[in-house]
Amino acid sequence: MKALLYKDLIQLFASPLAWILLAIEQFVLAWIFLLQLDQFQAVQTRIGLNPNQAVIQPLYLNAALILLFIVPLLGMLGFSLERRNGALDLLLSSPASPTALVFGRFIALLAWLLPAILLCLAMATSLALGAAIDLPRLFAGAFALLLCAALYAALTIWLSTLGDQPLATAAAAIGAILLLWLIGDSRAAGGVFSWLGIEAHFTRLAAGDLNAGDLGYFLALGCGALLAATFQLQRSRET
Amino acid sequence: MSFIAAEGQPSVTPSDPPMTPLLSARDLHRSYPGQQALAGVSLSLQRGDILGLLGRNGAGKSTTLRLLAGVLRPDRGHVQLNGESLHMRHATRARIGFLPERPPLYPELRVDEYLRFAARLRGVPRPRLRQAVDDIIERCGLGARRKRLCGQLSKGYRQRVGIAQAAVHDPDVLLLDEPGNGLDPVQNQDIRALLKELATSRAIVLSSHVLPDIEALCNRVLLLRQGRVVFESRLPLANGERHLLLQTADADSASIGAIDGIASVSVQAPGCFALTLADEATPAAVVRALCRAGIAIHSLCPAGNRLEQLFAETDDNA
Repeated sequence: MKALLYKDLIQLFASPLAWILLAIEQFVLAWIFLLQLDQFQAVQTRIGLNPNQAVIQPLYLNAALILLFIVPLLGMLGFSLERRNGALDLLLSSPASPTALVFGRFIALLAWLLPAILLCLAMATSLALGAAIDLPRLFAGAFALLLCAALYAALTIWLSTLGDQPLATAAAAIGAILLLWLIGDSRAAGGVFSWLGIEAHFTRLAAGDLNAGDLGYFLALGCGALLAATFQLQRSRET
Repeated sequence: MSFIAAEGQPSVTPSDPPMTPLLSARDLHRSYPGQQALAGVSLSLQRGDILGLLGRNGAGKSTTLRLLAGVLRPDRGHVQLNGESLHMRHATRARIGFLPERPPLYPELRVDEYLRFAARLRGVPRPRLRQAVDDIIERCGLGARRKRLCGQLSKGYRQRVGIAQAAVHDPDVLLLDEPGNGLDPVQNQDIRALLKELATSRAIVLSSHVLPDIEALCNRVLLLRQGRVVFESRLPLANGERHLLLQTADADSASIGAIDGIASVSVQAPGCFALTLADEATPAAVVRALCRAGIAIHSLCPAGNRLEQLFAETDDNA
């Protein structure tokens, strides 16, 4: 697991794509953050909004939406590219189990996303310089963002085990995650579909309402995707 | 050295003691959708063996190597390394090194980073990691390129790095798919020398279309056609005017060796013997002596370019 983790981190740090995506994410988030801060300053005295609700929660929501595109673009370089250039044979001929390979890759992707989440957290924490913010809710929101990024990463890794076209992997992952955002929002949604939607779970967690149901949602879907990826890698020995 | 005939019947030469094979594959079957890739391939290797897999495109060479490396599971049959199943225990794979047809390089990694990754992946413990990488870099002549990005290497060096990643953990068995693929003659010579050096302490299986490579490197050859073994023999196949290849069904090496004019005899394959003539003997005299001894000669020919002939013959006959 460590071998793939170190290798992926070296590759991500050496990849211009990863740095460009990180820069774009931070630029867009900073822009949105400043706009919301501006609006907050304009209305706070009239309607008495607190900065957690007015700035930080929307910042996390926007970050989750931007990561929706960034994680698949980073994750597409995983198993699908390796299948394409023959490097998957190197992994499958090693003593590492498919589980170790999948988790090594997952942790590497998450480790790369961690600075993006921490920068977002730093941005939100900077509000404390001029306003009274609820710190536990601030950190709970960052944790929700981490869970969301982890779910994206798990889904992307699973989809990358299914084919050998990195761009198709990225497109499929973006599509799948978008569907999860939209599905819970649909008027027709109910029951399972409503539960499957990310938005409600994420919004509650980002607001600082840590509850087992929402945590379970991210864990169930994330672990499910990683198990599916493990199964698919194992299956690729048979097909 | 154990020896498995094309039909799967083991035939051990009289001088070889029975040994547990280092790598053995029995009755390997593998199919892809709409295609039977392998149909009953068996082989057995000891340390020091270099087995060449020959065959046309689609004959099953790469599939055989991928099965031996544990990349694919056989539909039927099994692969064992020192008696342990390759597909049951992941850890067993740490004793195998595999170079796929295309060297599995990561263009963004430097050569030493890549080899460190390959060593870690194959379970080299952290304290030995640096030494293992330094050793293989030196053995493979990569010292001047160790800080180069893999994506910037020439084809010859990519191939060297590919071989280095397969051997970095000092495996018992090296599986090399077309190691001389696309190399110029000088690079090819270098790779041959490298493989000979690596072969001293392990078993190697390599596939190639290049018959001179097989003849230069291997001490055994196995010819595949449509997923089946159609010929297996030791190398070198006898060469030159003093060497003949005899095919007969009703004699053994001892009775042939007793014939006047024959200095030595070795079994190439079941019913196929390489004869070395005594200094004073002529082929005609040996033929007469064989006939006098009642040995039915199915064919007797000079042994020169035998591998090429066999490749062509088996391809025509199969």
